[in-house]
Amino acid sequence: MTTRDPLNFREQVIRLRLSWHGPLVWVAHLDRMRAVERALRRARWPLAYSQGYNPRPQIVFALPSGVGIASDAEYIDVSLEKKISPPEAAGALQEMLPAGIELREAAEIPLTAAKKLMGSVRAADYRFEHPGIAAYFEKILACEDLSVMKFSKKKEKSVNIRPLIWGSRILSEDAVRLRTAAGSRQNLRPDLVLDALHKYGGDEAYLNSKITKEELWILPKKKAGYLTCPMEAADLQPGQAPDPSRILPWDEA
Amino acid sequence: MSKVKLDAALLRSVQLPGRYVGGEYNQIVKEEGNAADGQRRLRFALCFPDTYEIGMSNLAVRLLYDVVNREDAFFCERVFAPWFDMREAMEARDMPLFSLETKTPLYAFDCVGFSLSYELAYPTVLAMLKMGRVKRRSAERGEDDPVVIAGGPVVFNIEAMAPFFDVVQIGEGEVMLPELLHLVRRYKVKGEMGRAEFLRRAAAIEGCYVPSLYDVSYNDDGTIRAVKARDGAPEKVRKRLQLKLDESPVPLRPILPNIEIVHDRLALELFRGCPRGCRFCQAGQIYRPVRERSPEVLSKQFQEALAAGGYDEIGLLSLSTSDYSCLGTLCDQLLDFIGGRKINLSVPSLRIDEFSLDLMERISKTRRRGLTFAPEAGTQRLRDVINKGITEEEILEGMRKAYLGGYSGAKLYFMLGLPTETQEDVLGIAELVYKLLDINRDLKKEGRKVRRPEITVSTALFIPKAFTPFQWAPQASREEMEEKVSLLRNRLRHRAIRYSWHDADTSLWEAVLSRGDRRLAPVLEKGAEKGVYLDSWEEHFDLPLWLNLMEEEGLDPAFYALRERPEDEIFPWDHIDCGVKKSFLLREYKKAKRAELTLPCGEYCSFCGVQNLGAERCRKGAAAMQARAAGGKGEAVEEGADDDT
Ligand code: SF4
Repeated sequence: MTTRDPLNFREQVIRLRLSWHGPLVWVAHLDRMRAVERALRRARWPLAYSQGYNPRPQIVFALPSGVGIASDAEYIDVSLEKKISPPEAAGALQEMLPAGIELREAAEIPLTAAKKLMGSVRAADYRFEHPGIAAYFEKILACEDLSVMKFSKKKEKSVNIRPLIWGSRILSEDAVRLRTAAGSRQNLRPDLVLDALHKYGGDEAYLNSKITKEELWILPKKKAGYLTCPMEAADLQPGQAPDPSRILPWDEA
Repeated sequence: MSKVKLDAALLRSVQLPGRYVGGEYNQIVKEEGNAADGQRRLRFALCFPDTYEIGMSNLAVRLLYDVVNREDAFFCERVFAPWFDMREAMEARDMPLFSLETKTPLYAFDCVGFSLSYELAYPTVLAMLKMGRVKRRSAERGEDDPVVIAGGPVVFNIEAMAPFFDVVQIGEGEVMLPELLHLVRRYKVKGEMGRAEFLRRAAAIEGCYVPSLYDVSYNDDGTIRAVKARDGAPEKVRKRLQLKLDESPVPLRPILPNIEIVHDRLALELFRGCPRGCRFCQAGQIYRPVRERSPEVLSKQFQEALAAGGYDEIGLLSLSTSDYSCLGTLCDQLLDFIGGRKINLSVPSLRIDEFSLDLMERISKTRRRGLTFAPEAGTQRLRDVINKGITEEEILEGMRKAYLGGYSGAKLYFMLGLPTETQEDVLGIAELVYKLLDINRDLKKEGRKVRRPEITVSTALFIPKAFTPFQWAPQASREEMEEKVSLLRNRLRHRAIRYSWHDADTSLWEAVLSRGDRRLAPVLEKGAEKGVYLDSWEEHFDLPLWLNLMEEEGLDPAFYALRERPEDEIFPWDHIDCGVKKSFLLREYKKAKRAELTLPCGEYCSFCGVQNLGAERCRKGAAAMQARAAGGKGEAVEEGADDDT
């Protein structure tokens, strides 16, 4: 039996990096997808659709963001049925995005790389901001066990999120960056960190913190031995070395 | 102006915070500052007494938002009813109800307007006023309070809510609302007049009803003795109508909702009114006469709005889409345009005939949807009573074609408790449904390829409404309703049939409100005081509470809902003129009792009262009658013989 590549109808894949702020931070992942899809339609990008009964445009977010998470690193692969020139199309798209959402980068990526975006995500950087938040982070990061309740599909269970936090950097008294596990294998929902601040730091005020996804880290190819950000991977030609300043070595992970 | 601040902790604590943040694509925010005439812009809050998802799916809300914001002198913002969790959180923080665009509290607006599409939302209106810190009764409001207005289909009898609104807009708002708002601006912004003077002047605008200028007196039996206009207000408030729909603007830059809403697609309004004249239907009377948009105008509209919205679905919207005279042309244009663009077309409740099935076939190349179908009654006699001009043969033949076209079945809508309904009529529904199953079986026997049948039956309960031929008719009691439902439920037990029915409790309350009078206002007020909110959501509806409150006020639900009203009774809504005459409605009621049909407008004209407006469809109807009369058919023109007003 031959299996047909279900995506063989596409001519080109463009990887977008959007920043996501403003009111649309408060919608769920499916709503974000719809907002991007509609912006692309308004900008008249020649979207490629899946075949079959209910054709859907092939728009893939690298890592879904939860309600309330702002982002400077929304990576999205868009499949097209006709080739376009990224700079021009990017200009058209920029004008059609809702308030608070901006196109930062757009680059063509090899067709083969596109399918793997979601599966290759390994880590994410999040910035937490609130007056005086750094002191609380110091307190909770010293704990070995940060167990919080996680609700999913009507079930509720306790998870220890500490092992999912890979690194931290105090940016100022009021801002902290965490590098966390992310992607389909292991994933830390950043709002659980707020619950931990509340529970172990003892202050409800931090439920008010602003959370921004700053960067994503993907495994560019199997057994690569290092992580890189998705745009970096998009630019890479076979055999070319990545920019060392943007590589996250495994050991830091 | 003070604004509400939505912090992250609040938004994180509620379901679907996207309902409250605004900022949607194509939302309109006008800069603070003056209009071209050097004076401040009027701030108008367009309120819909239900959730964001329902309000944003409402065509009137979208239309009025667009129409008001087209004018430089106005800034219109949206306000919806927060869900229970948000309402609680707001209360805990002492946060007033606010607008989506600028988060301005309701009390800070110059004018607050409610778009009302169903009576059950009345308590929510009162709750929203309270949450927005706007005084509830018109009589309590002074110079510094917002002007509170209402419009929408239910306001044709708004008496139960009369004390709460300063001005009520009877009829179509697209021209009337800007005219009224200009007057509000002269009062609130320019200070040209005081509140009393404003109300008097508002009453002079065609279609504007100022309830406080009308005194109602009652007979001992609770019926109306008289309604008297004061201070120069007209004795009868005439419905405002947009005769030339093509001149009526439509939103070309539709707001795209933040979150999934009930109908998230571009809606095209093909025409207003309905030529059918079903006797239970209020919309079919109050929107008379039928007025169409031309396919040229519609086609320009949908192309522009689709481009500005990025929608992937377009829906046709009207009371009976099959009756649009240019449906074929329009659909060809639509299908042509959407073909290469991956846009779906959704067409509601067509009659099942050759044309529709062909159309459905062409549409379903992109996506197949179920057939829906509304015979409304189970026997021919009862369908004639309600003037549903459809025969059993048509239904059966339509279904046969649908099976052969690859449909497995249809969803059928019926009404229970219709005037003159007997047990036979109720069981007739089941008989009809089994006949539809038999057709499928017979086709299979003939060796035709058909899918295994699946019929969904849904029954609503009949609610007599003001300004319909059944405004005199009694509603069936809850016990009767329940009997009918269980009778039918027993007959419809079959694996190919799914049956769902509507709740009798809300139907009774809706019947009370829809033909209610001003004595119900304190009942609604007490309900709101007790915290009733969004009780149109069935799980929150509490009939005993309303019945108790009515009893406290010495009112009897049976008086409003269950008695047949005498022909000469003065109704609480008789001082509203919806175009259609009471004498016509009475004629229709009598014909109903004789199970006599009235032909649709366009094939015929009953001279219902709007014949002199010069609508195309009415001219056609009158001409068709004349032609038939000239052809020697000897048609009775006795219908035109009314001279009342
Ligand atoms: S005047 Fe005649 S054609 Fe016009 S709406 Fe009335 S009944 Fe119909």
